[in-house]
Amino acid sequence: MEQQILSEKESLVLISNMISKAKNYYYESGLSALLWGFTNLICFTLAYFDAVKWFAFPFNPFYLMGITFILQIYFDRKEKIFRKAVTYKDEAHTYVWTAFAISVLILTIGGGIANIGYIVLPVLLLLFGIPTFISGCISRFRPFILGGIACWILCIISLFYQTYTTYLLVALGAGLAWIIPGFILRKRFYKNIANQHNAV
Amino acid sequence: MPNAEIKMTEKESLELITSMINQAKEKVSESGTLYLLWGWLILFCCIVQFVGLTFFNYPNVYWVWTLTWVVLIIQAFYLLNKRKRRRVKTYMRELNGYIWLVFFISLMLLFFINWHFNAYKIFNPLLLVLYGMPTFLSGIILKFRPLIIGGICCWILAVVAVFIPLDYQVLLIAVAIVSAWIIPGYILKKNFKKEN
Repeated sequence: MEQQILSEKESLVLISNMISKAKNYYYESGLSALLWGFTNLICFTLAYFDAVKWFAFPFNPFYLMGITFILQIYFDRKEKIFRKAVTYKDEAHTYVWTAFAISVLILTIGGGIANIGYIVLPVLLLLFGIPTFISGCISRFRPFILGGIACWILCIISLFYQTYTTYLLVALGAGLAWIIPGFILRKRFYKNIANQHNAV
Repeated sequence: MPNAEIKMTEKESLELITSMINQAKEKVSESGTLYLLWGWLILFCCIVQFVGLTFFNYPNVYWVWTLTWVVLIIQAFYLLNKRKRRRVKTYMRELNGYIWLVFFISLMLLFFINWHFNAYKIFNPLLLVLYGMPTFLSGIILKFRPLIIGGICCWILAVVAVFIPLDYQVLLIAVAIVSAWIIPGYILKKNFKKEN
């Protein structure tokens, strides 16, 4: 194969094209944010209803998260088909959320063993804020940054309640941190698809 | 005099890109100073707290942690000074900065929660969970395995701490600090010296 001779300028154009192409590869549909946002919203609202004895549940509402976990794996596999490339940002997002999942797991298991009770909810809000804020910084997506800050503010507010209302504060945190940004991402995602179709 | 454009083959272009990436990588390399500073400081505070409480039954020993605030102020000046001298700000460095900022905010919130609830029994395990997060993520960003292992060590010790009496939990923090910050700090320092 004959090698193509490129000028410095042409090389730079090639690099810029590759970068912008990689940028377009970045695939964030907002589906995960919506999935986990709604799951947390539903679970914590149901936990509140259960706690104030509005109605008794035959099972722990948090078991529903198991279904979401399976759905997440299914959607991840489905999205992988459409994803053209894994960027550095995608990788960073994955690790941030993995670290979050490990921390939540330790908190819930360790908290259960130590029987820490109410304190688990403010700490959960504190943890919600961490990956949301960092994800916002990685993708320079302001709704996530604001969502993360909202979780931390709700964490401080929850310290002064110490009642079952805190379940609702966590549900609100999930809504602000993941559902609203998720819908914004989804809207952006469909807009991008429409633009790509128009370009074709 | 107009600049004559250098003609490059595809291979040469790729070599140029690789060399640029390597250059950027070099700029990202950490000297490990802050890991060592904080590592040794927290290790010192942990040991003083343990010895003070266990052997001397001295309840005011917790004041030793005030040292962290002094070092924090010194660090703020150090970082401001370093920022002025820095030529480039890479995306990785920026991201690393955000991670440690989030860690600081979370730490402050955890102190506040602990102060509010007097939840001393669970405070140390939670602290270890928090230590693990930025260490693990910094390891991923810098692609530096000792930090990743250090972060995982913190999480394992967080689980272990739940089963340990309160007075001895501080020793687990000491172990975590050695594995997460001091050992990686020395390896970073060694690599940095080699590179420069």
